[in-house]
Amino acid sequence: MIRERYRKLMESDGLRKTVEASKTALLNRLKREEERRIVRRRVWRAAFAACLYLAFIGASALLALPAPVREEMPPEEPVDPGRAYSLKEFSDAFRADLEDVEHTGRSQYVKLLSWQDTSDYLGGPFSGGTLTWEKLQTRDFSFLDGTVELRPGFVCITFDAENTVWRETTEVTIFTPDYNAARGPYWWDIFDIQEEIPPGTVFEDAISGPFTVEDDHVTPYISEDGEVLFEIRYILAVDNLTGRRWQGYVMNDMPQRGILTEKNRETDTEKRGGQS
Amino acid sequence: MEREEQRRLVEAYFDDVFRLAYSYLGSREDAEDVSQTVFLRLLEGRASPRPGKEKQWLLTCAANACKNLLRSFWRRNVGELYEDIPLEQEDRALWEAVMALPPLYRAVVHLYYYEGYDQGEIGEILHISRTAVQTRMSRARELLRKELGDDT
Repeated sequence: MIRERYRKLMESDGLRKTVEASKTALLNRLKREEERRIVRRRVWRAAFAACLYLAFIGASALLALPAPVREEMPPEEPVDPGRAYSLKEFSDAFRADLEDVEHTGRSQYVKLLSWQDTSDYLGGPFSGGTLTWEKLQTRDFSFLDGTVELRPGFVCITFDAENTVWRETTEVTIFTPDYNAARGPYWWDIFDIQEEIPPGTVFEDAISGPFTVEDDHVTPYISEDGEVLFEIRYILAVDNLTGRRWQGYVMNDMPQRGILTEKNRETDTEKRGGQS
Repeated sequence: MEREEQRRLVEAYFDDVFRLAYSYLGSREDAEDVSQTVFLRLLEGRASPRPGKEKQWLLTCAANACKNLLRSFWRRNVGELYEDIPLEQEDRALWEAVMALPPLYRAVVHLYYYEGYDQGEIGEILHISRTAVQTRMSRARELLRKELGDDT
C-alpha cells in the first residue's frame, strides 16, 4: 500500500514538472559549460601559438644580433687640478668666441691680466664664487663691478689641490677693456715694437718699474685646410721688482686691432674716458 | 565523455537522482544543487561509473552528496522549509509523513518503495549493511504507520 502511494507521490504532476524544470536547467548549464570550454580551449590554443611565435621571433632576433660592442667613453675634459693649460687647449675650446672677437673688433682690448693678487687688477675677485673651469666654459661669471664681461682668450690657468683657488697670476689673459685702460701704457709700449724683442731686453715702466722680456714669439693658428686663420704674438716678461711674470698677447695679423700702436691705444683710451 | 553520452545519462537518470535527493533533503533547491553537482562531477570526468552500473553509481553519489549537505554547518543551522510543490491532499499527507522520518530512513524508503531495490542493493548504494537497511526499513514503516494511521 505504501509502495503504490509513494510511487504515485513521486510521479505526481507537481514533482514531475519540478524535475523536468531542473533537468532542463542542468542541460542548459551543461551546454553553456561546453561552449565556455570550447572558447577557453581556443583561447589557450591561440595564446600558446602566440607564445611560440614570439619565442621564435625572439630567438631569431637574438641570433641575428651582432656581438655586443662596448662603447669607449670619450675622455673627460682636460681639467686636472694643479696642471697648467696651454693657450692652444683654451683657444680650441673657445674658438667660436675668438671668431666672435674678430667680428666684433673686441680684440683691440686684448690685454694681459695679472692674477696673483686679486687686488692687482680692476674688478677684484670674481662674483659668483671661485672661478672654475665650468664657469670659464659657460662664461658664468663677471667682475664684481659688473661692468666687465670676461671674454675668452685665456692663456693658462692652474688650480690648487682643492680646485677652488686661483694660484697662478701670470698665465691668465682675458679681454678686459677697463683693465686695458688702467694698465695699458705698460704693455702698449711693448707691443708698439713691431720687431721681435730679444730675450733679456729690459723696459722701464712708470707704474710697474723695470721688467725683463723673457720670450717673444708668434704662434699661428691654422685651420683644417692648412690656412693660417690668425697669428698671436706672445710676450713673456718678468717684473724686476716683484718677480711677477706676465704674459701678454696680441693678434698680429689684424694690425688695425691686434697690433696696438700708440695711436690705437689713444683712440681706445678716449673711448673709455682717457683713463690712461 | 562525449557530449551525446552526457546528454543520454542526464536524460536517463536525472529524474532518479533528483527524486532521491528530494526525498532525502525535502528541499527542491537542495535537490537541484545535489543533482547538478552529481552530474557535473560525472560530466567533467572527475569520476566515472562502471558500465552498466551508471544509475546505481549516480544514486550513491547523490546519497553521499545529501549526507554531506546535511552535515554541513549551514544546513545544520537552518530550519527546513518544505517546498511548495503542488500535491494532492492524499499525496501531501504521505509526503509530510515521509519528511517526518530521519533523513537516512527517507533514503531507504525511497530506494525501496520507488526504485525497487532490494535490501542488499540499498546497502551498497548507501554504504551500510543489509542489517542496517532492514532495521531502518522496519523503523520507517512503523513510523509511517503511526503517522498515517490505518491508511498504510
